[in-house]
Amino acid sequence: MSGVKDKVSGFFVNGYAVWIIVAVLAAIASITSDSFLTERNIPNVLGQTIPLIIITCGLFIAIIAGQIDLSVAALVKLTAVLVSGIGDGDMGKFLIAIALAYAIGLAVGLVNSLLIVVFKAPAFIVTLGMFSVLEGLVLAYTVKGVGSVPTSVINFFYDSVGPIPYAFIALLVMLALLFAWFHFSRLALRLYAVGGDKEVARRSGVNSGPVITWAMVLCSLFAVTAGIAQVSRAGVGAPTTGEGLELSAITAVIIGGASLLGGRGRLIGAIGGAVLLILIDNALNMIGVSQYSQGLFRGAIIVLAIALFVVKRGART
Amino acid sequence: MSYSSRSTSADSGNGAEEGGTAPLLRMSGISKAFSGVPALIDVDLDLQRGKVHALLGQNGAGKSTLISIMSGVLQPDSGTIEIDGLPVEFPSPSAALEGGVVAVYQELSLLPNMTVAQNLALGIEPTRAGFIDLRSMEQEARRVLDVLGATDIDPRTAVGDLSIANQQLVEIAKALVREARIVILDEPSAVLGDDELSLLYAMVRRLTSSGIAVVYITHRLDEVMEIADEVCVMRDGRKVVDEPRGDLTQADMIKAMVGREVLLNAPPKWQASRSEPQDGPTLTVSGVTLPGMGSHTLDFSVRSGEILGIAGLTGSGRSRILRMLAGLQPPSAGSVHLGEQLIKVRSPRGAIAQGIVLVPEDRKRLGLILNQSVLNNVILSILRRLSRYGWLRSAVARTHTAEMVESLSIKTSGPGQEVRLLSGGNQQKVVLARCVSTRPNVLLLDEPLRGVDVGAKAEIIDIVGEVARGGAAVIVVSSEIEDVLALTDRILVVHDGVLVGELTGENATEANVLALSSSRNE
Repeated sequence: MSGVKDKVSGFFVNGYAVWIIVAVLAAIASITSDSFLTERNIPNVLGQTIPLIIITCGLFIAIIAGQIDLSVAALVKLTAVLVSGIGDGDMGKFLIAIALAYAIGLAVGLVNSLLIVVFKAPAFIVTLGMFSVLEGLVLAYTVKGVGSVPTSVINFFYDSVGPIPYAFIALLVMLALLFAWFHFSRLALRLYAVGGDKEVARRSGVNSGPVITWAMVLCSLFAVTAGIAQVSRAGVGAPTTGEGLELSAITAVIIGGASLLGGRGRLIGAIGGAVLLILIDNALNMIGVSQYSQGLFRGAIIVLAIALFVVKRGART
Repeated sequence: MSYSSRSTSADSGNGAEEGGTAPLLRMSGISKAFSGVPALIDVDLDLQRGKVHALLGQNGAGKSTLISIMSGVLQPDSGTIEIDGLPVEFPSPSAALEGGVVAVYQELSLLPNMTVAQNLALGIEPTRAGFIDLRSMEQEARRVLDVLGATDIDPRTAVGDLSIANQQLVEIAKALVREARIVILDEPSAVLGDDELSLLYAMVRRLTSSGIAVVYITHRLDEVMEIADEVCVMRDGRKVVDEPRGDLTQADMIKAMVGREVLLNAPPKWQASRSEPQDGPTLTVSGVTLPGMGSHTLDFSVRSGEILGIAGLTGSGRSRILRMLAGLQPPSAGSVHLGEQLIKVRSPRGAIAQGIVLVPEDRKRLGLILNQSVLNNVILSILRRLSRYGWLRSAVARTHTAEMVESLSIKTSGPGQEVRLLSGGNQQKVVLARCVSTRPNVLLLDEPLRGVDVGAKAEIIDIVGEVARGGAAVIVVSSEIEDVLALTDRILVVHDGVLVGELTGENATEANVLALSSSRNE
């Protein structure tokens, strides 16, 4: 009995279980809806996953290190309005705006980690404050849609090889690199150690300060990248871009089996969680569930996924 | 419930008459396997009213599984449990509580910010007209504490302000409030100093005199001789001995636990090589003042290849010396040299860089990342050595871990197993493996043998000897004088942050250490 349970929870922690739900949901959607497995819908779903997957990767890094970052969606928003507003359809200005956005992302990550590491403030509070600051900056800059993204960049997100958009291929390359990094880098192991137990890590010669700084900075840089992807798909940046992405990303990480306390979880699971969230919305549309009851179904599937796997884990010691 | 006017079973003390000749609790044919690996095989156990049943066995012998089943945490694969001759089932800890079985673990389950009375009443608070009845809550707490002889504990103090010994007492009082008839104490002495032990014994005797059966788990045989009525020894999931204590000697018990004859006082096999100086650097401590220990200064040195013991009572500063050397608590004055080189460390990281590593006292809290793998824990201090340009060479890391698992004979299902699933002795070896991996010049060990079974003890003693012969200077601190004697070549005794004596050779006896430890405050 308990052997089976161990295997199931092991499977879950390894991050594969969520992919089963993804497969089941995709199968149901393809059987019940004619429009799910179509040339129009597949690139659409793949494209939609890009920003969420990127932001989930960043948040996953922060969560593994035992932190949280609530400022990511606001950073997506700020990136979107700046890139679109400053770039305004011109490739040269667009690239300058991207450089600026990354510089801001770096600064945001450094400020967050300064407050967490040096002033010992909890990440939750620090990044909640940062969220407000960034939202304020966005609204100070613009209260409506502003500028545009160069057409060639937009095309990169919509033109495809078969059903797969170029941007999605770029995402896969980035993910491959990230997987390798998680598997082989020293910093990744330190993230797990610090998230698992800061004091034990310190006593073993791994100081948490630099590790947490790296985690928060990487998380912000991923958020900027997600912002660029989001605005490029939309074409125009607006103060509504990326609304609520932080909660979706946290949900994705948790469905994927990571522990909010840090030190535990696999990237493959977090990505599965992000894919599942996008798929739920798309499949509900395709199956023809009304807009009004979609929230109910979405919530039910998420709770089911967590009840099936997350709750079982860690019950025994 | 017990806040009502009727008395608890703790005072009634006549449980023996109710059930006739049937034992209070009888477990028959209990078997349990995890993932196909048997943890308990056909175990029978009877608990008698008013008796202390010592439960002995090496780590992994099945003691924990047995008490987990008794207290409803785990369900047996087969076998039955009876109370007063009537079959019962404990599908959950709360069911076991209702049946009168209460387990008190080393990790206490008290809320430190709440008062003693609140903790005792947690979940069963007495009410009057819908409001919590504070007065009767405190009265009941007072009554139960008095039953246990803890007349000096005020029910209104916050639990966090009590000593560990008194917290443990509150935990047991909690069992009494819940009308416990069977109290399981899991290594109750492990968190206590020697002076607090008598308090524990007195409390256990009060429990049994009111008809409660006590299951007492310990690694210390002197405690068994002192307190137990019946001795039950487990080995490899089976019960191998269950007899009145009077019929057994300590040697019998050790033999039953390890399954072979062990000479109690035989020197460890590496002892022949004691006092062989190696040609590594000598650690010299000169004029060091420990923070918070007045202005006394410490001077001592440890040669390469030597194992120095530091003994002293709790609070004497013995652990502070190690923390100072390990960079956790920099000294307020004085200097430390390793060979010719002046050592100034302000963090564990700095200490490790100088080749000074500490095996901490509390391995679960400070030594291990419990929910992570053996591999992650072993390589944590040598990530830099195992990587190139920031990339971890995972093949090298795996080989290194495999070598450590092999040479320290760590019993694990693989390098990926989470360390929380290992037994205490094996967890300690993982901490040692991490420290040894750094190829230390100085190895500091704080309570290295605490909560470790007899077999693993011998192995750890061997490993430490090995490290010393490899050229490290080793310092061992322990509250167990026996352990210090078994491990070390030379013993320093500290008292209030001052060295009060040095013992070597024939002078290094338990009596001399004790005499010196308490010498200054007569």
